[in-house]
Amino acid sequence: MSFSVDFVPSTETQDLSYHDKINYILTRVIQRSIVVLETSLTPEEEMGLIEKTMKHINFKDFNGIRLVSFDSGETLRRTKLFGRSSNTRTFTIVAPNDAVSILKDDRGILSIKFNR
Amino acid sequence: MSWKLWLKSNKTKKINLGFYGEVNAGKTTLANKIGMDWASQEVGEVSEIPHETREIQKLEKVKFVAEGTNLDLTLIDMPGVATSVNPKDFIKFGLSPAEALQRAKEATRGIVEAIKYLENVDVALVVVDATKHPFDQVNFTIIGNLEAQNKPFIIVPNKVDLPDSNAELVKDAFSNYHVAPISALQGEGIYDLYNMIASLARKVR
Ligand SMILES: Nc1nc2c(ncn2[C@@H]2O[C@H](COP(=O)(O)OP(=O)(O)O)[C@@H](O)[C@H]2O)c(=O)[nH]1
Ligand SMILES: [Mg+2]
Repeated sequence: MSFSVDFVPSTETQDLSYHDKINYILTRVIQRSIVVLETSLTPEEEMGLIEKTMKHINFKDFNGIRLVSFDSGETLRRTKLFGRSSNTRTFTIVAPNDAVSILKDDRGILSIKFNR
Repeated sequence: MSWKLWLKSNKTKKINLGFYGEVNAGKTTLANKIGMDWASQEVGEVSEIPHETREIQKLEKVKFVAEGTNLDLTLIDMPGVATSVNPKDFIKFGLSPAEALQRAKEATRGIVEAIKYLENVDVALVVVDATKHPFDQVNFTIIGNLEAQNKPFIIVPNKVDLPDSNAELVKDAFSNYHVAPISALQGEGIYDLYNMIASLARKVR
């Protein structure tokens, strides 16, 4: 099984409506792409993505997603000083669940392991 | 204190208390603990097999008192929120392939239900397994949505009775929120949690 990694610039998604954005991401992930978005998703978009994912799981070739947001160093520093703020500057990775394992440590290092 | 204020402060407030969090964090164990403590009733089935709770379970008319605050709680135990559901995870526990598939299907529906029900919750408990790394995105997604909807919530690192639990790490990760570490199983920390529920509930509406 092969996967591609798609790096999606913010210009691709910034004008999409809530639903179109979720569909844009999910369509790619179902077609076995690991999507790296330049923008962060809002909590509502993340929740909507999870909800939509549940409706698309077929227990054959799609068992769901992995969703991770990457915190910038600046965000991590502010988090240390002031606690987590919800307005974090991040990029977001959405991958087919069986394609990768994603580990994030307390220093903010994100490590993606590709499954074969 | 005027009699009006006095009446108001002693009026029993109705609160929908929602239990959110990852699968197997101990949401049902905690809901049962609260149900037993205040209404001598359990809310649902606990299991080591993921996705035991696949439909929202409610226990109504739980008369709760803490810090002089009287609450009429409805405990709403939610299915665990996950971004993926894999029947293989249940086969490990001895379920047949057909049973595992059925459980997985019900679990996906349960997750949708839990998400949709968020708007009906007055106060949420976000239960986090303190033996695991607290950086699971699902926790942040849930918290972000609670904040966006202005719902008061408490982060509850659970299973502090286990030697490999690390409530401090969870506290650090969520340092500017209300955090109440507990063992839902053994009761450790539960009174601090009750006081926190009372103080958040006072601010509702
Ligand atoms: N050691 C320990 N185990 C717990 C605790 N709370 C829950 N568990 C166990 O964790 C598993 C999942 O619990 P459950 O309440 O069904 O989790 P839920 O999926 O979040 O509802 C069960 O095996 C419980 O016995 C706790 O405080 N301490
Ligand atoms: Mg449960």
